Amino acid sequence: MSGPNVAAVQTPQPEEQLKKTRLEAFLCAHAGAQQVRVEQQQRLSGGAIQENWLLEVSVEGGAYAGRQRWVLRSDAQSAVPGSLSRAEEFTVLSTVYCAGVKVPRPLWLCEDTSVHGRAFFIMEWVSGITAGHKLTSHPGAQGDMRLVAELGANLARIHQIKPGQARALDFLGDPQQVSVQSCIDAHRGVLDHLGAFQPVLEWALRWCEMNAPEPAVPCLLHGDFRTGNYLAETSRLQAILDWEFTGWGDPREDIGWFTARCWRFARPDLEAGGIGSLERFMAGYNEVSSLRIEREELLFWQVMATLRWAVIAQQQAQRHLSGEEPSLELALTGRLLPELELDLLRLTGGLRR
Amino acid sequence: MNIRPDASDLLAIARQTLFAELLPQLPDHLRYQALMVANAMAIAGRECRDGEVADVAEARGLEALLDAPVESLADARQALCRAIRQGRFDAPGQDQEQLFAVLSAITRARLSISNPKVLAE
Repeated sequence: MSGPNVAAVQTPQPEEQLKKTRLEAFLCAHAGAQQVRVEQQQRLSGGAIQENWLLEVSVEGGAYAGRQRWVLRSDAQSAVPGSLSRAEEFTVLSTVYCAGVKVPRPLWLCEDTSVHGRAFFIMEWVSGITAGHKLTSHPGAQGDMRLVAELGANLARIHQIKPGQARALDFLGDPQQVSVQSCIDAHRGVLDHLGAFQPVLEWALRWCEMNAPEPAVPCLLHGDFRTGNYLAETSRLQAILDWEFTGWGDPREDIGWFTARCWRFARPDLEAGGIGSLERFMAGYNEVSSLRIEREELLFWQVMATLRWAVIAQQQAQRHLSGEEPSLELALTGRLLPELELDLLRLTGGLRR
Repeated sequence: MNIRPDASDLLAIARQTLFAELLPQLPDHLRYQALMVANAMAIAGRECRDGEVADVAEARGLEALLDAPVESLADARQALCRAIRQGRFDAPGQDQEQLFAVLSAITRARLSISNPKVLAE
């Protein structure tokens, strides 16, 4: 057992050991502890853009004394343009946490790259399931009435945050610059750049141009609020995750994204994310906000949502095809397009036998 | 190519082997990948079988819409995209109805290759 070779294997790489020691010193200082030991680190699944590590920590002294489970969230090797930096995401998380939105409690930000190699922040670990197919495989006709109402109420709490009220979020840009037309133009730009000539997408973009509703008062949007991006357990919402696409915009955009058919997984009949009925979801939403959404407004934003996912799917396919990131999953994402096209035709009244 | 087993035969038996012999032996964390492999093989098999017919049907539909012969599918799709963006099909009426009929048929044909289960819903 104690031969020299075995010992060599068991000794952690010096750089890894140093990294861990630096992390422990950072945690110790911020937790106001006498000593912090990171006993285990485990990479969590999900997060193509960011890396999430579960830290099993033992803390001596201070307000966090005892065993703690924390998550370290850092940028991954390749950053994606258009998504927030860790410092910005930490500020968003802190703001929505204070506004009563269910999120993992953010603890400390570290922008000093000499500690971990990349910027990161620490948040509390939260238990629960994210997998869309598991969360939507409930047997009842009504789905999960409690969870869907909680989702509605929490989305409304996010939407209660308005530009100007939260100066810390000024880095999210000028809310007046956000419009349906700028979004349509951006999608067209991406499709043209990819050389993706898809008549159904083109038709849906044109339809949106012709059917854009009056803009609503801009507010904070999650930007990727859908089944698969939150943790739930025993019919309770545990935490809303993946805040890297947050920005200012029309609250109905988040509702369209959440209810679009492409994010209903095993339950396409349950309009609110495959979890429950739209009525139940909006009942939860209206406990917090007075916003109403008419059927034809919802339909418009579902078209916008489906278009957005179709454009992203084309970009992901291109990442595979270009050789930048050969991946079976990205390749198959590209083949989702006909399903999204069918949805777009149906929603815009263009589906014929 | 006039050799049997052809591409479709090979994909079909390869997929069957994956399901019958490999999948039961795989650890849980590789199951998802194996199912993706099986899905990719199924799509490729259907495309081998039906892809050419679908392309011919699409060309015919685009020809009718553009009122011009289609030499390459890519060029015809691009021309249709341009016409849609310029507003040629904005107004309800005969042209728009024809657009919907052609786009619906093309989309159904593509779905019957990519994910026929959705068509059955």
